[in-house]
Amino acid sequence: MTRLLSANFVHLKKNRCFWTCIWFMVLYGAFMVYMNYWSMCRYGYDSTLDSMCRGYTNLMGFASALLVSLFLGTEYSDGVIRNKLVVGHQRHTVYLAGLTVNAVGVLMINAVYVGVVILLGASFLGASWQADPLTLLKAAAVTVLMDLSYTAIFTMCSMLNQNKASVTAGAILGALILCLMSGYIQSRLNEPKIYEAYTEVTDKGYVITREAVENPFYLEGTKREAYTVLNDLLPSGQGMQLGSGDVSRAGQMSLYSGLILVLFTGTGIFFFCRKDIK
Amino acid sequence: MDEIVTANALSKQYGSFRALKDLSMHVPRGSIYGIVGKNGAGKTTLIRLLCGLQNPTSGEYTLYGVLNTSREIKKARRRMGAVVESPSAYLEMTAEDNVKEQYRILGLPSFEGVPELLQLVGLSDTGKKKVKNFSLGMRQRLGIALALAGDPDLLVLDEPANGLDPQGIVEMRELILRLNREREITVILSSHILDELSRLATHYGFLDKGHMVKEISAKELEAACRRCVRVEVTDIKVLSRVLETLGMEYEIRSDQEADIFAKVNITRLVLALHEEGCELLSIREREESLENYYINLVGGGKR
Repeated sequence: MTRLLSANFVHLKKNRCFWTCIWFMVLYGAFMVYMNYWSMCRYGYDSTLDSMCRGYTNLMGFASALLVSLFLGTEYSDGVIRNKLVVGHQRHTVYLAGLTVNAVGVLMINAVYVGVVILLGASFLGASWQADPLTLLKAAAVTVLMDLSYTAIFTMCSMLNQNKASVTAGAILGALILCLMSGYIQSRLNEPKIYEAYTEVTDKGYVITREAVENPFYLEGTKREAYTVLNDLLPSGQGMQLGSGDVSRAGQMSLYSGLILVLFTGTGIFFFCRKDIK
Repeated sequence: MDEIVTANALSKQYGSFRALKDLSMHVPRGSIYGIVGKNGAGKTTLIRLLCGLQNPTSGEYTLYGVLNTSREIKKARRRMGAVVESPSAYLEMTAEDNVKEQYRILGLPSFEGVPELLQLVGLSDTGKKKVKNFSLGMRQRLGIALALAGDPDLLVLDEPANGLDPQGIVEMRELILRLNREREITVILSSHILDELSRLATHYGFLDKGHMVKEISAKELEAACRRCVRVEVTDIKVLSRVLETLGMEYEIRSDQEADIFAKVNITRLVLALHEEGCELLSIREREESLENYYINLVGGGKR
């Protein structure tokens, strides 16, 4: 395993997609700091490192989809995976080495963004942390586990499909679908229970008073619970919660990420060990 | 001579298609074993199985006497190198980086042998040129360099001459012969370029429709393909007597046909036969090539 890890890390170091993602995150981090600076000047808002650091969580699905599918897709398209199997490396170690290196790659992309934001935000804007250390720690833990669950999902897809182009397109599409699903789930969960009463004055001077009414789209009971579980389960839902600074369900989210990691990796290894490699 | 690879009743099925059927194979140590077969005969499937890229549906094979289902097969595989179909190398890296990467995969402690390996395959002067800019011949040679990185005793090459120009084919042949003679590496190679294979192989395995039709050594094949004159006569006993008298080597094929392995003076032969009341019905020169032998073996184009 250490041999494969050593080889894979050197490959990662030379991987163009990895460096593209790293540089994109550097620029994106700098852009977020600049946007906060602009808001400060225009509206007089105080910038906090918390809000700036949360700006990337929705992007991580796409970043990991791209990195994992291209990295592992190259192993198949260039045929290098064969070199590993022919000399006797076991399939589960090949799989785990791929997963590990990709997980490190995704976490590094993540860390680069946070690093840039902290460095530029603190030094140029004098921004500081608003949340207490425990909340920050929870957010960091959920973020790391979310990254790992994304990596596990895309590693499974990439290791079981030998076509680099289709797996890359599929992974990005998958990340998009996850995002859209979570966006819908969040909007349903955020529906107000009651539309508040309000008074309106028309152009002609009539005063109309509307009674408070119940929102028919408000989710209740089992349905609400199911939506909440889905929101915590999907890494994209976790990303959205992290993006809004909500870590109140950190325990559930961490548990689900762990489950995704174990489930997808186990399934991936099971099928990869039985797969006919061309 | 001991056998480095054996296969017994090996079968591989893809859905309803049986790519290999009860295949048996015996590769002697130190040989260059040519797997001969037309497209779709099962050559690449067989190589994929031997390389551990796919698992057999039934049957078994051994590498260095270790059964494919044994835990020890992992160690046995360390002693083999392979180029399956296209050479496997990172296209965005240089030849040297690719060989170093293979050294890491193998867990070799230093890169000391890298320049020597690149020199062996004639890629020592490629510098910073990326593999994506290599010619097919260079890629094939790099594939062999990667396969040789672990200093294997067994090299498996799938269609190594495929797509190469004449010069590339000659270079590839010389490299394989050098590896076999100087490093005593056993080579298994598949090809459908029979002429090329006949210049290399010391043993052959003829594959047809996923089945090993025949295994034969190059010496046996040479004997079977000897140049001769095939004659058809009315009395084979008379012919036999006459050929004995003339001191010619021959082989009786049927009660009317015989092969003569010598230069024949037709007038003398006809006169001698005529004296004993035997007629010469037909005479033709024959030289069976590997190609003819293979086609006779697998029944030509009839399917």
